[in-house]
Amino acid sequence: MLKEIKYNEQELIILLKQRDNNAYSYLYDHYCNALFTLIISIVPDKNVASDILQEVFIKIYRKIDYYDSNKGRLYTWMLQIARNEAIDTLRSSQYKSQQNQQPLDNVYINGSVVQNIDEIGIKQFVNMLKTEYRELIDLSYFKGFTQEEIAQMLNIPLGTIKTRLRAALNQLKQIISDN
Amino acid sequence: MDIESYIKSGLIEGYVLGIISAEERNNVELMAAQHSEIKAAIRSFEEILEKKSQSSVIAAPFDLKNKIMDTINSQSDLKKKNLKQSNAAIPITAMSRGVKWLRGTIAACIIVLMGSIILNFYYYSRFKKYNAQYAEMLNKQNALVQKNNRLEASVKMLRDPAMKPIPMHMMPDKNDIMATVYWNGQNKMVYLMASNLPNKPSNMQYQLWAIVDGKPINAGMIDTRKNDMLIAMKEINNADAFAITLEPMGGSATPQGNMLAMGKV
Repeated sequence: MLKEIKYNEQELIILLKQRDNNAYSYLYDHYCNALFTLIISIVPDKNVASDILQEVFIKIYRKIDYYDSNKGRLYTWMLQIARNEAIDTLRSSQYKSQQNQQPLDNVYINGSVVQNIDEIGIKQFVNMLKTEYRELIDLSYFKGFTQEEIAQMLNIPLGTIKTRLRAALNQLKQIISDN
Repeated sequence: MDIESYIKSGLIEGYVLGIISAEERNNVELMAAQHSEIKAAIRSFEEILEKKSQSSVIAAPFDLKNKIMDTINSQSDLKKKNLKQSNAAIPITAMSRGVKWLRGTIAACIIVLMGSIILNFYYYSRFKKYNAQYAEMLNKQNALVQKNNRLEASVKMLRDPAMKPIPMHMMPDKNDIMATVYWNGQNKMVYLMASNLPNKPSNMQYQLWAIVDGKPINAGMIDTRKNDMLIAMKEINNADAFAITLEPMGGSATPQGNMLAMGKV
């Protein structure tokens, strides 16, 4: 049994770019749950979310050379890949035609059963926002609509959407910090 | 450039979450490249997001890891860049001949083993050296990439059709161009490309003004220390012209110095 190795972010990135297997194994162990949680917040079907998670890790492996640590942390980059993949699936005709979604049954978090998908990951914080802010973050982050698309959908001027979204994000940051 | 209010504007969180427009993203990257406080604010939100989003998670299915690692392993270009340590261990096989021969062989094996241990140390130190060199090269590459990103971001901004260039002619001759102001008509952002700013005393600073209805409005201090192609100035909604004066360090509320350059919008 290998001793448990801990990497700091810089070491990990170097090893990942070298295609080191242990590094990818560590990456999976460390981040699979957080990524799975995000994916399932967007596509609430366990089986589909599993497939997406696989695709995401393979994409991470293939695209690791494009990761630029100056633009942000590794986790942020992986989260964006996961989110993009989930939203693509959400909008795919294949998923839409799939009527029978496998709901999450008795999800266990740290020993306590969670009935509601809204209590997980980033969603728990988004739910603490006031209604109009929550709606905006839901449409842009969890449904993947651009600010222009949202303005059209809600029939509100783009400038208002931008201002409101930024205010929502500011409040979201407060909520995340306070909790 | 009011950094504090920029950090409180929600743009940084939108950038990290990936939900703002491409134009807004470019702007954030430009700001981050020019202001370390903004880069730090981005990192800080990334860190808290990572920490908090790991708190209540749903476990990914158990069997998934094997499938994923198998797929990763079977990818074609598995270039292992680690130096492999060679262990030349020679097994000591049972002898059917005399003990003398056996002793001799064991002695030879021990010598070879010692040699291989020494080789291990040697290769390990080379490995560490190359690893360190590699890390240093990556660092240098990062620095170059960062510099390139800043330039790219500036070029992207210049290509925007809403960006209007306003050459600032030196007064009073109006022959030479001291600098060029770039004003984005859509988002009202203002940038300055300082091509020809004359040398100035160290206790003075160049200040940009927007002229509206004949009145000068502060458009920010021109800070050339970071050597950026485009210097970010204050947002200006309306202007008939822009002007540059030389003011005491820190700037003035209204222009005290002579108008050194002007450009009409």
